[in-house]
Amino acid sequence: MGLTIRPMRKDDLPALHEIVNVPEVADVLGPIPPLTYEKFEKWHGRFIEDPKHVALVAQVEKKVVGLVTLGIGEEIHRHDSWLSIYVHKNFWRKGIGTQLMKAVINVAKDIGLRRISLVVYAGNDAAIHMYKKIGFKMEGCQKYGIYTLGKYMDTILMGLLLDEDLPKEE
Amino acid sequence: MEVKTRCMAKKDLEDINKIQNLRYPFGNDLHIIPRPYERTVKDYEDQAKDEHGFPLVVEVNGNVVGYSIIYIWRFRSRHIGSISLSIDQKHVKHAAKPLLQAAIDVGKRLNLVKLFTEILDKSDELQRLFEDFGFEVETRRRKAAFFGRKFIDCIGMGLVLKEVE
Repeated sequence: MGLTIRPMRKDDLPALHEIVNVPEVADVLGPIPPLTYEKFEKWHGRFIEDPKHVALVAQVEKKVVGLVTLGIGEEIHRHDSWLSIYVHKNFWRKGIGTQLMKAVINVAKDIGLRRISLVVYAGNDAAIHMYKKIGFKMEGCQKYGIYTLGKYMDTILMGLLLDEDLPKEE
Repeated sequence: MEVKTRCMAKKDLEDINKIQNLRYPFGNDLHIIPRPYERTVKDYEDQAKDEHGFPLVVEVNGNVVGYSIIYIWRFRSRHIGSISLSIDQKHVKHAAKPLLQAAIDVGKRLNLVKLFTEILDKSDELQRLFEDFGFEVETRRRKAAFFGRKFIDCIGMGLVLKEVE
């Protein structure tokens, strides 16, 4: 599998739009299909228009199969960022999520961020396991944080302090 | 003393900007100061157009001494609203509870399931205010804020407005 990770471009948006409208992806990511292209473009446009944010795509051969973004905080949170990640369901369990996470963490370090925050719904054990393995720590549980899969579910807040939590390199 | 809450309007923005430029306001809507007036105006204009934002002010004897913003989350968390507020310390005694009560009432009118707020660690008086209205601590984002020249944890607090299955 020839995996490439590179910055997102505007011409990636149609392929990414297709991925987030796959129900299984949307269930874990949050949007409610059908999500129109216009709404999707508005949602993802800030990552292209505002260079302070970070967006990397995963590409297998010539096909865009996933995205990771960091929305950089403002004011007293400007050293922090919020992470969002998704991968096309046909490419789940192939290590693409982990590769995207590692790549975005390197970018975060390069641009001087101190923290990455993320939210995942309780019960998404595969994702929680991946985040923990990378070094994220659980920072609490939000009751009724999301309505998905037909019910209200709690969400887990996780954080990574870039100068404290990453496993030491051998 | 007359205390009143109402919807924020353009005419309030100079007063709002003054509160935002206080070094230690009471609340969790904290900014890097000096905060230009144009930023306050831009934020207001964005909120005024955005159907997710509901800004309020609190007046004491006709003077705006604080404000709050209720913001509805998106997508599958659109049953949750976040509350931020900021009040001139001199008026906390009279203005804080009416303002927070008004913000919670907005959440109820919107039929939200839950309200959420995030405050700086060790903001004891602010935490007590939210606890008095039933908010409970749910999360602690380590070193998520930089304020007063140091990194500080952010404490997330939630208030369930109605139990759901």
